Amino acid sequence: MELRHWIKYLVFWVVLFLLQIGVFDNMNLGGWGFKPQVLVLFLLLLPFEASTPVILFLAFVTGLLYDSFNASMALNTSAFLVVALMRNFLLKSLEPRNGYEVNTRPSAIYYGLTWFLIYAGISLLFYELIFNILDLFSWTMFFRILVKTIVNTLLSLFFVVLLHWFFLKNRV
Amino acid sequence: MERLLEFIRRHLSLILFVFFETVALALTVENNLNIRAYYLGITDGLRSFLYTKIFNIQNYFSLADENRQLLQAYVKLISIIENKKNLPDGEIKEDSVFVFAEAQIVKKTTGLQNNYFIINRGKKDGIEPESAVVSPGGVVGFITNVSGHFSTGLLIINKINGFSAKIKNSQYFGSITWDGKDYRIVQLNEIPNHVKVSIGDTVVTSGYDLIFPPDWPVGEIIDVKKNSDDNFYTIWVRLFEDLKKTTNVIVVKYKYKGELTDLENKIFEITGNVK
Repeated sequence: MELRHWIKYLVFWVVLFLLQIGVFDNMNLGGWGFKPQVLVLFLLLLPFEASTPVILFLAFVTGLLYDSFNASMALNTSAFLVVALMRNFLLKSLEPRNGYEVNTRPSAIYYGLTWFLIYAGISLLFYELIFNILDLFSWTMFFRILVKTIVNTLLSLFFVVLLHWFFLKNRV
Repeated sequence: MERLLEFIRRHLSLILFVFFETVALALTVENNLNIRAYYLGITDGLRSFLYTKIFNIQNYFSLADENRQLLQAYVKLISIIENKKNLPDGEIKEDSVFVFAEAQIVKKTTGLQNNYFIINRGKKDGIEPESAVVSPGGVVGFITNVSGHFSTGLLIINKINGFSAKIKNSQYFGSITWDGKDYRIVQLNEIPNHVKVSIGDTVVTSGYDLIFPPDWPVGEIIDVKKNSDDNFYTIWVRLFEDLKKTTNVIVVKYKYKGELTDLENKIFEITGNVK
């Protein structure tokens, strides 16, 4: 990937990061504090060529930075890492019959909204599941973990798709 | 050795994942406050910068609400202060002379010759016609018609009705009218030309119109001219209140207004004056 692309990704990362900590983290809807997680979009949209170790590294750094802003220790980092690890496996299992085309990215623009919804949906579901299990960490909270995971996943998915359109329109 | 490297290469992703995840989980369950403090300290500067400088924007979302709350608190305080003035030994009675209520302007004009406004309080909230509408910094207008939930009124920038005002710290009073030119500037008339008037003096309400509470700030004098045909000044007053911006207002009701106008009308019957 060219340097130009990496710079675009960096800008994209910064914008997403600021949006996450500035806007979405402050939503805290309802009594249980539902909030969308859009920072994952950064991992989802990395190019196909990105290898798992690189993605893991990026997830680790992003996660730690994000966690330090939330004073949530490394809860998000753990969840980010899981998403990073499964990303390439997930992409492989969602591969269209004639494979991914060159010079494309894992986005709805190239592979359709349904495909992207499944891809992002599964990633976000795992993210929220890991995060909420680690965060609440108790069997008595089982119902709460379940509800928070499902609601947060849907909420995140909505915003992720929205932001995804917005950013890709500008060819990030 | 070669086989070890080969193993690492093949399972690099998994090894990295296990390593990073272990670090992350260790940090998560780590209860050592020192490490936590150190960890948070790394990004502390950046974090505080972002939260104080950039994300002040968030405050704007709650600003409308906060304004309303502030105004409510202000109304409570000002009613205590204003009513204290009118009472001996600073005692606050149940039946105060002025009744204050906060309201928001929902519609207004400033570009016409007779500008009006609508507020979101009406008969149900105890608003009556001829109540004054002020803001903490200046005068806004007065109520003319009241419906159930809303009231309409004329802004002070109209050509129908003026109000009574005086120069602060002087007992000379006159009436404020508007020439219809600049929405920020009104005219104070009927101040006799032997009175010393200087630019920059503050003009306040006199209270003689039985609408506005006395001594409420109106504006400052920006120009004075002696009239050639009579013995009065024409004084240009710049309003303190920017009526284009005003949204949060206070409605002031003069409690004994009915009683006073009845008395006043009796005087009119004798003198033959019309109001």
